[in-house]
Amino acid sequence: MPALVFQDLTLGYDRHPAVHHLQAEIAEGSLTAIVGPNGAGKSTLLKGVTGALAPLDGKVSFGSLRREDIAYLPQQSEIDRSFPLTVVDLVAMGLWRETGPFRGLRPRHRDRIAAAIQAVGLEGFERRAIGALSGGQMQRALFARLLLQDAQLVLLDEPFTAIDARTMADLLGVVRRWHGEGRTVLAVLHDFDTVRAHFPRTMMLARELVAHGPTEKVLTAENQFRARQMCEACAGPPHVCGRSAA
Amino acid sequence: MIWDAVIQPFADFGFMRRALLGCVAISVGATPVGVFLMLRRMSLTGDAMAHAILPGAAVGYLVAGLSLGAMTIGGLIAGMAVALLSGFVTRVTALREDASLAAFYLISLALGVLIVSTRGSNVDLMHVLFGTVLALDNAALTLLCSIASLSVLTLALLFRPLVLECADPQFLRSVSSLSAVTHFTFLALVVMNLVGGFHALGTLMAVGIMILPAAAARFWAAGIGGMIAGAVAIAMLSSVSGLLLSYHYSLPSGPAIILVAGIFYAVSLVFGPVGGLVAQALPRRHFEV
Amino acid sequence: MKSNGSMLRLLLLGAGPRLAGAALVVALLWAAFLWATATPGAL
Repeated sequence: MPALVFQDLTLGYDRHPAVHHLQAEIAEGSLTAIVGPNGAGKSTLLKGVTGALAPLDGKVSFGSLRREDIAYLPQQSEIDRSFPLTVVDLVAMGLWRETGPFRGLRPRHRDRIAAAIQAVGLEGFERRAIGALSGGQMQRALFARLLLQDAQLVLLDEPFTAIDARTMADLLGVVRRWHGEGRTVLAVLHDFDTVRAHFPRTMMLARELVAHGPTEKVLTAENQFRARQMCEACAGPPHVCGRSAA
Repeated sequence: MIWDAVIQPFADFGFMRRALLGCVAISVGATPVGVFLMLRRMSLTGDAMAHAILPGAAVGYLVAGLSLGAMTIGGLIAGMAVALLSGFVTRVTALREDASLAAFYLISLALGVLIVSTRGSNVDLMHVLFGTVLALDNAALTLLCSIASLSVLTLALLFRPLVLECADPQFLRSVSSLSAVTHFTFLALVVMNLVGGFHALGTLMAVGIMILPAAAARFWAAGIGGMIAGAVAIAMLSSVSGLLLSYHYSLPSGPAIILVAGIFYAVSLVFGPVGGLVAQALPRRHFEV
Repeated sequence: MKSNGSMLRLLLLGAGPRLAGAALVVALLWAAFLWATATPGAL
């Protein structure tokens, strides 16, 4: 049974579609990478899944998932890093589904927060202000919050951009753990080596669907060439599209 | 000697005790709201709304004279209208929010002064602009304490969504539908506290007691709880010192209180342990970039 | 910074304790109101 079905989905801003007539199914428990040139509509697709962006046409249907079952890590997080929050504060908000705006945190919650912080390798940083974290440490903290959200569908937008190799390896471990627990993971990525090594399935976008299936069948030179051509054909400066697909 | 200078004025004179209570109420109510305004980088919004309240209060004055109720209701309506309108204008036009706020408050200020001066004397104008902290009657004090109580209880109730709305609005929207409620409740608190503050300190000074202690407290506390406590303490100290200065040296009390708060801010900026200039010059710690 | 760690974290408290704290502040404020208005005379 699919966790997600895109039915003739068209998404965009101000009536300029960024994703055209997408028809695809994401299987429950699958670990899928979304790849494609810049401006191919990858981030837009994730926003469409979260519901932050309403479809211009078609629809996204969720199997048995409810809105609370979706966790989303945006690429450019809107988090105000100068806000006086500690790592514990930030991670603890992942429990919102249980605590809501009003309930206090019980000892069992605190244990789970500690476990999540440990799982992403941030022990000892619990009381650190988020403004004093490096980019990699911040990403670890956000993954700890995702862990606590305990979501059936996890959406990650370029989660490993601008972080060090060790952090990336640790966080890929977290992604594998989600996969092992039967959660559905959808991640926008640009590094094909990472995709080949860790993501069994891939969806290639260039505003339209280029290919979708087992990673080795999708990440072919032919598909990449097609995606680049399709993206150059659409609006937007072509040199931007060409460079990013490499 | 210290007794004479510090305690005696409050022990001897009812109007000084009332002034003190009025300022303490504003410190307790408005200052925590100011901390959130600062953390949301909306300090200027507070300023704009304080000015926006003026024509509303002036219309109330036009209708009913120097009436507490009429001026309060007028101020509340005008403040909320501007808060909503400026957000609306930003959404439908290309103007950035700070520019549209500046436009609104300049127009409001001019309009307010014009309305008051068509009927009132300069004394009345001074009353509206600079408040009457030394002449607060029971009704005004009841209003100030009620606003402070409502404000403190609302902040306590909505603390968690409000923090998230400031720190990570995207996340709040993804887990809860409280985002809009929190935002508008907060704006209502800002307007309410400014209207309360304007009776004691005047429209121009009310925003000072909201923002200056919050800005100063940022240099003393790293956590938000400490920041709120510090800001309230600084606001109260400024109130007492400002009132005493105005008593001993016959200064206008509203500006005296705000000036003392300003001095606290300057001292904090230089000597505050969290990111103050001296602390930054010392190589031990690095806060932010 | 150290004290920040041992301090109770306002964000992790429930609405009950937060409202109780706020109610205490409100009670003190109205006590001050009674003290200040016990004697007549604004001016």
